[in-house]
Amino acid sequence: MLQQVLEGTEASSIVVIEDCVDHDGRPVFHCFCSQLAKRCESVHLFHLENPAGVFLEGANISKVHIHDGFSDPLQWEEQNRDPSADKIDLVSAPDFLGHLKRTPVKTSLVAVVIDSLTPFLQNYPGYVICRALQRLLRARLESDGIEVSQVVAGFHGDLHDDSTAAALRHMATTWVQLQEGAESPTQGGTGFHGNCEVLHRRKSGKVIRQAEVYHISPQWSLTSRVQKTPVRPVAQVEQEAQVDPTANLTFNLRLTDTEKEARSRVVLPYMHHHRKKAPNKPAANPGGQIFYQPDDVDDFDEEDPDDDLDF
Amino acid sequence: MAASTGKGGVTSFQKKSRTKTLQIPGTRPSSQGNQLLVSTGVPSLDHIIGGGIVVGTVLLVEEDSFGNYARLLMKYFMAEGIMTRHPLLLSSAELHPKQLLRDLPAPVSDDIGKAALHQEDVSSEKNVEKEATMKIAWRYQNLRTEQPELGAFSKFGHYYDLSKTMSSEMIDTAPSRLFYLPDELPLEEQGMWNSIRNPAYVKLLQSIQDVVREGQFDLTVPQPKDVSRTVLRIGLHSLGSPLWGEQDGGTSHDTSLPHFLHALRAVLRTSLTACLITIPTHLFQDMAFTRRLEKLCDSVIRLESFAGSEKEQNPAYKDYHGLLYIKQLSQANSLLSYMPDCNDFAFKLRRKKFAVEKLHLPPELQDSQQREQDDPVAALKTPSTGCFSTSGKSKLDF
Repeated sequence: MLQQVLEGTEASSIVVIEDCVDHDGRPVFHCFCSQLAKRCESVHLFHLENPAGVFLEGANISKVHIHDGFSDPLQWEEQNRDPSADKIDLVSAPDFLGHLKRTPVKTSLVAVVIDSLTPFLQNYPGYVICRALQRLLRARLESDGIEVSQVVAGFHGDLHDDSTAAALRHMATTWVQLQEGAESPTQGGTGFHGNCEVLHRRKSGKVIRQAEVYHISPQWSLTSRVQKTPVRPVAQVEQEAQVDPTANLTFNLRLTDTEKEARSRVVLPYMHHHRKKAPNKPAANPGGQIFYQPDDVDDFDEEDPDDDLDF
Repeated sequence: MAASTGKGGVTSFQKKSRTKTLQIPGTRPSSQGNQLLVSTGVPSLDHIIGGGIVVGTVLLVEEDSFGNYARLLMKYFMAEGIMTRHPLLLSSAELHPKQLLRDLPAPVSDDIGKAALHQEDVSSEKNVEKEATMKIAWRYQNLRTEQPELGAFSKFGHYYDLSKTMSSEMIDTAPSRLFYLPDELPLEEQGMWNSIRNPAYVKLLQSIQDVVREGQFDLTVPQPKDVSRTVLRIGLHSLGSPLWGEQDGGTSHDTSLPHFLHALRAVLRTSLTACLITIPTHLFQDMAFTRRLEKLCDSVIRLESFAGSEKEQNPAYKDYHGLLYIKQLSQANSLLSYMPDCNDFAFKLRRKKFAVEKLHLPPELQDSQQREQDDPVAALKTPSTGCFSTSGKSKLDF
């Protein structure tokens, strides 16, 4: 699933990559950057925690617009207060769409990559970020001149509380939670591998939750496959070989087909006697009929024994 | 006298009352008290909440984790409003209300319910024929194999086909007012409601009041006799989500949403309106906040869907898509609310229909386990306070 979202076969408007202390999300993020640079017409990278070079290694730089939030986010230096410079400042509320609109090139199929939502979430409440992300997705080519096809954001699970995570999860169409990972040194360089859990919501409403294993090659291409969950011991109890009771007997308990046929034709005591019914009787509902076949010994006396009573 | 409790609480009994009940198309008087009921669009849901939504009250639907089924209920509510020619007011912060309205399920046929009943009978007859003729239990041959749908015999709600969408001409026949929050931004502080801190709710409340006043739904304002009155349907989709400005999942002690609900109910009580609100309460960390919202609404149901959770694999639940819990039922103008006869309901979404049914656990599954601890069906039964624990491996178990 992770690979399909990365390559674009599974459409997803907001992808959130949640990492943790044990597992750094930067390699996966880097893969997303390079893949989106190949797939989309332009990529806007908002980086606040790492310098831009970390993610742009091996990617097509001409398509990437960098919005710098790393060097001076709080605008301490005079020269950075110029509004025309492409800098993100944390002093005012996040407005991703505003930054996008300021770039000269107007295209559709824009991808937005946000290095981390953490600096925004630390300064503003969760709903401000949710609204800003929603505004990004609502941008239309006619009115705003730009249309965003995918947003990829990083999120540090250890730094925020559950309610913020829940609010973002409510908005995200794909949530990748990285669990364990490590470097895997190979001949060409260092690759990465790890476990993750992907929760993907399709537009049709179907929800897919999968545990996956991914590998990243030194050339920043990601392959993932679904990890077979260890089957619960309940289901793993092997189907006991059905003990065949008719085997290993000194007498024969099996039936041949003709015998089965004959068995199905046996008239059981309480069955509906089709043959005994008179042909001109109206077809009454079978639920209420009483069919009485008197035996030979039955003495059907018409007299009412109560007539003898004399008070 | 005692309220009509007991099995199959929907009756066609109509009290001969002296007071003139308003005759409004699409509503019917409830068997409890002198109230009007409005259908939610799903007849099986109507049946379990006591016949429908009481006019003047709020039905709160606590959303499932991904909000799909709550959105579906909202669509049914709006579709029912169009079929009965009730004006609509729809508000949403995430999807544009127009998108919601464009995707309503189409009604099955012009004839309310009769065609659907007929369809059901025909299909059940076919099922019976296909079955092998019973030899020993032949007296049960002609009984229906499917359980009759809850509330299937009422002529109050309409039946809808989910695979088709309602035509746009039909949607345009009902006057609707849409409130889309991102279009109303930026929000200024409204002077009138100082107690509600969140300007989004203030703006929504203002627009609801405007619609009620303009559309003459207000019961306190006397209307001339010849004006035909109708009921306004208000649908507030996904209220209380982060996009409405709710932060910290209710722990921030922001009382805007409870205040809004209180003011909303004040508006509704004196007007001919019925309201369906869906709130994603799974996002709220504070249980007390959720309980407060529940107490401020009249009827509350909670949806829990199996999608994406481990209950999806549980074989006992394989026929259903989720569970439905009734948390509260309205007791407007009466001492006792409607009491459903059982509390385990599940819903399933078939290709054409959304239905609510009683949850039947299978007595035993094919692959039942040797030990009762591992049996998924036994685990679902309420844990008995017996002398030994059915779950957990204790050394004393044998």
